[in-house]
Amino acid sequence: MLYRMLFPILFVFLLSTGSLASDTSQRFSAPDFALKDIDGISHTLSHYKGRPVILNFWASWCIECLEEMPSLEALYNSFSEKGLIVLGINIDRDLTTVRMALNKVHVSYPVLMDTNGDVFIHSYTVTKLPTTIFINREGHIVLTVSGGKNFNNMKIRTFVKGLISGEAQ
Amino acid sequence: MLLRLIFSFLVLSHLLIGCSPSTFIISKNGRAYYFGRESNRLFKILCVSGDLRDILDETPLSEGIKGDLYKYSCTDERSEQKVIAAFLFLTPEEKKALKRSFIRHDYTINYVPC
Repeated sequence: MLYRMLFPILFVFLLSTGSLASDTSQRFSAPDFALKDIDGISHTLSHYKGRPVILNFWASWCIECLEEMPSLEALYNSFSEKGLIVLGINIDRDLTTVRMALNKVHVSYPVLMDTNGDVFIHSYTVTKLPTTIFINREGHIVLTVSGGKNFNNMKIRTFVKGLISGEAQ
Repeated sequence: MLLRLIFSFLVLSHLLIGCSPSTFIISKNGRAYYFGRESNRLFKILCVSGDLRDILDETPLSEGIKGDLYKYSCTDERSEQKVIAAFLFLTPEEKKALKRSFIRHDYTINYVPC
């Protein structure tokens, strides 16, 4: 009797977790934004349409963010000449703090400042740090990854190759 | 035994798939809620009473982020996800200041009353 009662509950629960997992495959247009990088240069997402873009949201006080950045840098170094764009989006309040963090974790991709949270809260509603969003050449979000990750692994590299070639759309 | 096993499985699964809430628990008058949860009772406690307005006013947060936390907690644009994002956007010092302000207004933080 107890099993009969519990089975439907577990079944519904497993279905619900399955749908959560498949959310990442849904296609949403990546909201456009305009932000300045740490050197004062303006960047808009729409400017990069036609090329795959990775957005990496991070903060200097987020250890996992700093830990994963070298692997993202390695991925960028491997594929930037083939068209991959990586944009770091920092949510600290002041440039000095960001520069201090970047003195420890060197990255060559642009780091943009979202000091008032317009992109973080309103456009992308990021609920975990770090969060990394993969956008295809058509400007659709194709993968969202939360939590510190090693981005320089075979699976991600193959995925990025697909984004560059247009196969992983 | 079986029930305990299933309960542990459900809790663990939710943690593993990332469903753990990302704000903090506030409790007052014997009731506890996650800050940001879309609940009519929480709306009455925080918004109708004017508490959240006072709590935010007494923090050193920027006007923009105060406005966001209020808008997404207490207006027609209420959104749990946006409150979580706004809270996550705060620096560790700002998060502490917000929690301290709740405590000054007789809220208990991260405690669930029995």
